[in-house]
Amino acid sequence: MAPYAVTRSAARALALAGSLALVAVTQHPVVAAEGHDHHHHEHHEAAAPQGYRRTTQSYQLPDLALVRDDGTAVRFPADIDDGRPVVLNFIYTTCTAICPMLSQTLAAFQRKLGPDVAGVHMVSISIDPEQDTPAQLADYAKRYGAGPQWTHYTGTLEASLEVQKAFQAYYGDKMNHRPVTFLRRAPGQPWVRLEGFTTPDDLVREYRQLVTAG
Amino acid sequence: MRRGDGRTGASPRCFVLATALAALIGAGSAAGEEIGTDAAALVESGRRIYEEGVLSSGEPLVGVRPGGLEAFGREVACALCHQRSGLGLTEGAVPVPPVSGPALFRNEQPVTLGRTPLRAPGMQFRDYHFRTRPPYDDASLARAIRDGVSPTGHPFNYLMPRYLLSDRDTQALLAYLRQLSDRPSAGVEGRMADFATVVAPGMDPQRRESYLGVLRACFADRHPAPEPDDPPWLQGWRLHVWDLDGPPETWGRQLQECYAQQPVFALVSGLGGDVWSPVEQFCAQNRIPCLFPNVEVPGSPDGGRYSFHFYKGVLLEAQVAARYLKDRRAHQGISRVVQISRREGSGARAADALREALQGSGIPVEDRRLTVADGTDAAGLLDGLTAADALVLWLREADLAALSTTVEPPPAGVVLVSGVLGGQEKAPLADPWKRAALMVYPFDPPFRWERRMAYNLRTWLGERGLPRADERLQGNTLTACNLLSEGMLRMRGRYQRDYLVEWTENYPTGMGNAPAPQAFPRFSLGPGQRFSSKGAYIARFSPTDPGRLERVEDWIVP
Repeated sequence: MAPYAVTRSAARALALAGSLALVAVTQHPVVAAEGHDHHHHEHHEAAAPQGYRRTTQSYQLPDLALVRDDGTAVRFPADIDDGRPVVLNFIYTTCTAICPMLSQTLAAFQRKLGPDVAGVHMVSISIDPEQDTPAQLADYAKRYGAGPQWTHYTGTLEASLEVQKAFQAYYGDKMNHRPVTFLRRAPGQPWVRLEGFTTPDDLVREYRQLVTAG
Repeated sequence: MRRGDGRTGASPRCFVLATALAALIGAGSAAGEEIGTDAAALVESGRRIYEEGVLSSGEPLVGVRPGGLEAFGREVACALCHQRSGLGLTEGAVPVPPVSGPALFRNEQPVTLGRTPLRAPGMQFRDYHFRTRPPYDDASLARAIRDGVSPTGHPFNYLMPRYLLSDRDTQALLAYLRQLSDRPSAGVEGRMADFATVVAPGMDPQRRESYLGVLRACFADRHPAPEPDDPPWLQGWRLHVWDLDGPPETWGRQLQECYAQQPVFALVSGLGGDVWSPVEQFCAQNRIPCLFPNVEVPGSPDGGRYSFHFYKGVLLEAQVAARYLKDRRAHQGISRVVQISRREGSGARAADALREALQGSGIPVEDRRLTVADGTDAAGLLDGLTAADALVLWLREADLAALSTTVEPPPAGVVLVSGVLGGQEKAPLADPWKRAALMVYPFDPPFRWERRMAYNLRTWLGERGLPRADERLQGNTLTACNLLSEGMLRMRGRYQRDYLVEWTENYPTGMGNAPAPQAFPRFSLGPGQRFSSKGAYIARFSPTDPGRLERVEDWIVP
């Protein structure tokens, strides 16, 4: 498309194109094949109207530099390979709808684990790393009462993108962020990917199943 | 700076550039029926619930999601998702429906083109329930908020909490929602929208002309006055130029005068130097979105809710310089910073910012000031520098030229020049200085930027018969106009200033549509974010071609 139009009709065409694009971007009407079953998980007994989808995945994690919310520069994934099971998600601190809910869920998860909480490593990685400085992340962590087992990470934009892509959780733009949570029993094990909204109880159940399995 | 008393004669010139239509604007748009104080108090207590998550008792709002997840206060305030305008947004695959008065009580939809979305054979189209449900009344809306169901009993998305609200608080919230975004903001009348651009006094006339040339052309291209048979979403725009006069403490009054003569929906771009806070204050007081002015120092550190900037100007340079110098201390033993600036203006503001950024670092900072008009007193300012010193020059081009031709570069360990003030690759440094100096460079690397300008700016200028001048200024101005244009289009007839703020802060940039003609390598905002580019490079003049800059450090985000 020519960048900008000169004539009235072209100006109209531009506005038209913009509106159409907008319909596609912001409306997302649900187009579903007949009989298509939405992502309700079989174990999902809670009354949540949406549910989530559970899959098991192997991810090749790149070795790169990240920065913890206390300002310490670390290597990833070495820093999360401390032997403990990992619960991981992606957030950004100025996010409105989805991240606050994800972080509220992790905060409730951490409370519900009770004394077992020391045995898990909770990881939240920023997808807006240039805005989310370590100080910003530390404030955010405090807002959700993050305990010592819950680390928030930032880094360069490139590093954040690489990690998102490694987890197949890169959706093109931070506003296109989806609710996904990852669990891993131990380094070298596959990841359980929970796609959609999980309640704190869902997450505790998934976590306990994972750590007691086999 | 002088107090205003001697200069109260300062008066703005508030011009209309576009002449598309004779104005049929009445006396502003203070329409809006009088409401009694009780009703106003009810709406205000509804606003506190909606925006802040605070109940009339002062206790935090409580929201519960199915499955028992409870959250409190701001974390579940309606505005967190539905936004201050009430017009919602889409995050990921989750649409947050509008909850403005017209959307809730009349099920009013945004302007559409009357088309049916395409679908493949065998696919069913199901529209979102919130678009097809019947309008709410007070009873069904109270039930929706408390129980999470629509008027027809359709359950809401998991993201929407169920709220524990007293009857009194429910009534307050309903009163607030009923009036939320129920008429267009001032500055939009029928199918015409008015915008202004502010020019600070003392701007170079040629620079002002090339600046206004871009805005005029952008307005003329994209927003002709609509004709009767044009579709309803096509909107005509008028540009008003507000030329300020006199000292900054009188600008606020001047802006209010212009605004009283002509209400505008938003300020687009702007041309200024080291002072911009009176404009930002005007924007905040009148709740007018002010989009991406060309200034060297933004008004306030957080910009205020209504002011957006491409970057923090020389304040960003100072923060990046501080980060770089701390790093140099470790690698190079830098143990003191000597900075040279004028006593006033952007250079002095930058020097203050660098001093502040180095506070607590253990690196002492010494300020030295240029005082002679032609900059020839610089020689004495360089005395006593050693390899353990960093010399930082917050100087404009003329001062750089005078200094670097008067004296040889000192034996300082680091010589750092401001790119914003110093003229970037055109910095008029004498050759020995070019070999010694580094530059803080908050712009796109020259090679990439040149290429982007060739495609995105020069063709555009050429087609409109506009001469190439300061291309960073021209490109940023065009970008500001484009961003306004896109925001206005995306509102699809719901012309609320807060909604424009929300579209701007959520401008999607990760999908390859970063605004092309801007001078910066990044454009990334988010809710509450007001500076779209957050870092800078450290560059040096190429040893083989001193007319070129090359990076020596990756993008530094302080």
